[in-house]
Amino acid sequence: MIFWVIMAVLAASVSLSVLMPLYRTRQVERRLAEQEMSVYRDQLGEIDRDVDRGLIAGSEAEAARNEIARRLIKADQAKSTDAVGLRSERPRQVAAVLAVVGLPVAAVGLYLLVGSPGLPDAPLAARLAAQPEQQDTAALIARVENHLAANPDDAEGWRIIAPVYVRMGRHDEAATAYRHLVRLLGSNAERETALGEALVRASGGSLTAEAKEAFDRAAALDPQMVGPRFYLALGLGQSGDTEGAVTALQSLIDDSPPNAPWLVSVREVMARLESVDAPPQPGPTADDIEAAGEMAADDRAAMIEGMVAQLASRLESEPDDAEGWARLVRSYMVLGRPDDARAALDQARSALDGDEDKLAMVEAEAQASGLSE
Amino acid sequence: MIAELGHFALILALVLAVVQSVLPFWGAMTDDRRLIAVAGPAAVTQFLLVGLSFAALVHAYIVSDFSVLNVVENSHSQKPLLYKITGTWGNHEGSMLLWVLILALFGAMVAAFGRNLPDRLKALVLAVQAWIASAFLLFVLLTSNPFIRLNPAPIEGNDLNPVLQDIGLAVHPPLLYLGYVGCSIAFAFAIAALIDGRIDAAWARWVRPWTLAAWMFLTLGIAMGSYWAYYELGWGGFWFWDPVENASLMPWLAATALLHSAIVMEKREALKIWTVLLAILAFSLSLLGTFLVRSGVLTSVHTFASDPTRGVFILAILCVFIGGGLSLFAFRATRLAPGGVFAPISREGALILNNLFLTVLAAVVLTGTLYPLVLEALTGARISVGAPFFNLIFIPLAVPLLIIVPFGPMLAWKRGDLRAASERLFAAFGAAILAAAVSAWLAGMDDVLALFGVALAFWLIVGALSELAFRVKLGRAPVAESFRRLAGMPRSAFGTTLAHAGVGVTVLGLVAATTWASEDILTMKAGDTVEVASRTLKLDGFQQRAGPNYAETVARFTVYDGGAAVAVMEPSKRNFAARQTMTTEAAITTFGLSQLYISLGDITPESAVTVRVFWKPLVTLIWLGAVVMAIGGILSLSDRRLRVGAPKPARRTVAAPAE
Repeated sequence: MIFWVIMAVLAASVSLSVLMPLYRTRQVERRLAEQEMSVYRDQLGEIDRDVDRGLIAGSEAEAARNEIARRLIKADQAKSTDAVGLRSERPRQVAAVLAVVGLPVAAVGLYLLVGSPGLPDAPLAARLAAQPEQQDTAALIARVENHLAANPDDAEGWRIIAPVYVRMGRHDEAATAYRHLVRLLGSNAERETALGEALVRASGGSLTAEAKEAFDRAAALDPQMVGPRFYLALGLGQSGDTEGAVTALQSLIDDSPPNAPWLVSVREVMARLESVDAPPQPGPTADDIEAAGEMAADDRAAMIEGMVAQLASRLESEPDDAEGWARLVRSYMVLGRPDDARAALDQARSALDGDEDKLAMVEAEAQASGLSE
Repeated sequence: MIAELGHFALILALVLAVVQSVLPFWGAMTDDRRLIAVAGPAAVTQFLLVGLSFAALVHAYIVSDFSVLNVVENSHSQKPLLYKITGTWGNHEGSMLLWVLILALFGAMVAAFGRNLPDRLKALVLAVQAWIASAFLLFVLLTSNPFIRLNPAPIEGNDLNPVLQDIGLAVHPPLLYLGYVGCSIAFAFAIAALIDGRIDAAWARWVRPWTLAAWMFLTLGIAMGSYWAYYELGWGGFWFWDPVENASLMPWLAATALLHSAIVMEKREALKIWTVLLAILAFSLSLLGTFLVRSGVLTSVHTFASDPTRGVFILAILCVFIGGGLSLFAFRATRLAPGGVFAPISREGALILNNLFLTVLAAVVLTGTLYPLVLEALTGARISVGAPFFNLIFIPLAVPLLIIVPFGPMLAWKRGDLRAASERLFAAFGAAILAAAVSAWLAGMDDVLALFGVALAFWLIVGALSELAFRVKLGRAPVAESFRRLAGMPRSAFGTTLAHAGVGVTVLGLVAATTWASEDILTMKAGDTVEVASRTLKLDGFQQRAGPNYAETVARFTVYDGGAAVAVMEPSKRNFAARQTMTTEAAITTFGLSQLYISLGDITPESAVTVRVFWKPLVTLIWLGAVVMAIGGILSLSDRRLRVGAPKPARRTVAAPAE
């Protein structure tokens, strides 16, 4: 309510600021030419002062006075033509209506359109000071955070907030919380594992040096624990030791009960590791492009472009691969780059010159994919 | 509620600005004094409303009211209070609100101090001012509204870009905006004069102080921005010919020309067309700068966020005001009665030359800034027009201008005597030769251009002082007489001297700091030392510190001069958690007028660090020169007298040519 009262007062005073001069000004006052003439009179006075100070010589002052006098006379002549007639009341009435009605209505209308009437302020200090049951989760977290910033040695606080961070996806902060827990409560396998996991997630899935150290410590404390074994194996795979990784994962599978919930992920990782040794796919196949259909548009484009680029560069070094050329031409057409397709076809012609069979195959593919000649 | 009131006040300001655009203009056209009278109070009320709105936003920042989107996006509860306040304009929406606030402030000042201003002219000026205000208020409300609310409110903000968390943000944008927006007053006066079809000394008497104030603020704002970039970005450079810097330099060049024209106009009623054109150009270039920076056409630290609708909106504002202004000029300029006549060799003639040079310089900067944009729009090619282009074109054009600067004040109004002026500048010429000789002796003859630069700097400084010496008849009259004259000199005369000398000081700084600077990039470990400019720099070690909203690694250096420790320098690298951003804080120590500058690169795990050590001789003069120029401006501004230029009477007794 008070908000609307203040708004009304504000709008009314603005209207008044327009209305007052409209009704308090008398029509005929000093004329324009007179105001202008006063400037010239002031200038004449200025010259006298300059002469008194000795800044300009008498002859110069005389010349300046002559000039200004000429302008003064000219302004005086203009004055007589600058007549002021009588005014009707009309403009004033229009202006008054504009000020009293138009102005507040337009302002309130626009405000209702873009404003958020009635939404109270939410200064942070007041929100944090509110009773816990009235607070949102974010405010509660902020309160714990503020508490921990002031009392970084409060293990209980870190223990509460660490899993919250994990759930919210704030893995960096989760890692910090677990670091504090390890520092305050000492190292044990669970805490080190939690720290390692937070670090891996924070780095987007790769095992950083700090994460590896955490898992190493956890494994030393409890060699049978699943988490460290899994992540350390993952790390081996990432550093290129595929064989070691597969062995470690296999032994993890062997040690696990057959219905253990983690086995799915472990097998998945293993399958991926084993397929790394298989020969890479030469360029995007139809399946690849279809699979890419399920990705986000940007990722998809990037994936296909990357594969095509890979294929093109491989053909630079192995130019007699007719199948490759055919696929490259087709890929370019699929991607809507006919110019590149044509260039690739030209390259293929010069590379396969003399081998009629291979060339015919590329030509046929070009025809089929719609690259008309 | 405070945030909502701020929002409502802003909307009221827009509606009032529309009223202020219409009524006084209508009144001026029909000579209705009652409508004309609305202009003043409306301008003052508009300022109060925008001020209320701005205060509401600052309040939201101070109390970290995260129900305001703008606060969420640009603030953080852990930020020090000063940066909470300055963060208000450290973002697109807030900075546009500051822009409008300053616009309203200038309008209110015209209303408050314009008692002697002819009422009709005042009404027209305030109406034009209100057109600009309406356009920008609409822009703020529709595309850049800082009062958008969030419900429920997040608990923490995204923090301000760490590079902007600096005292520079408290000073640089407000100063620059005072300069940009100050140009709008000159623009409003020019448009009013064109609409009215008359322009006279009274007009110029009013335009001069506003232009002078705008020019001063621009000067300081640019210098401040340059110094900020110098110490904050960690490259040790002070001017990068960055498009955004150019955007501030162009209005400065135009405003400098306008300032000189307005003085001629006031004193002699000459250069009317020039003055009006320059007033339009100066503001157009200010608007262009705003467009380039705010539309997201350019990406730089100044471009807070880009949004195509904003760009289109500002472009529309730009077209209306620049196009409208120039068309009006084309149609009406011929109606302005030509003023005082003068010989080619005269103070007026010299100032026309000055205007020509400054306009061409502004055109060069404009070309260099826009060409890459136009080329990219047309062909998609991305090119960068950088320092080489500007150094090749701008400097050779600026040098002749600087050479003729001391001549200007030595020439008499109406008809001057070039030989007599040259004779009075013998001392300056001698000083320039001597300075070049001394620097050749100190630094060698390797860089002849630099020696010429030093000579030019002293030519400007001593040339400016010579004018003062000439006017007090130093050496030609008894010393007591000279002192008496000096005491009687108007402050505006000192203003001219200081402003011109300030240019020389800046030139000296630029030449010395670019030519004789040294830069070492090396890897240091704790205990390592390096020799810089006959001083020894020792890396004592590293230290971790926690700031209010960042953690920093500080490298501690001690500077030894002849075995004695003379300074401790602590450059650092700061990590701002909220934005996951690192900044480099350079350490700078001033020795006399020169500076030692240390900036840190990467710190390796073996506790070695890449260090950039710069020695920048006389570098502070670059900015001190700007301060001297601005002091000159203040002196001249404080001189409230009218300006009369006494013409030199013709030698023959025949009357001077009729006006």
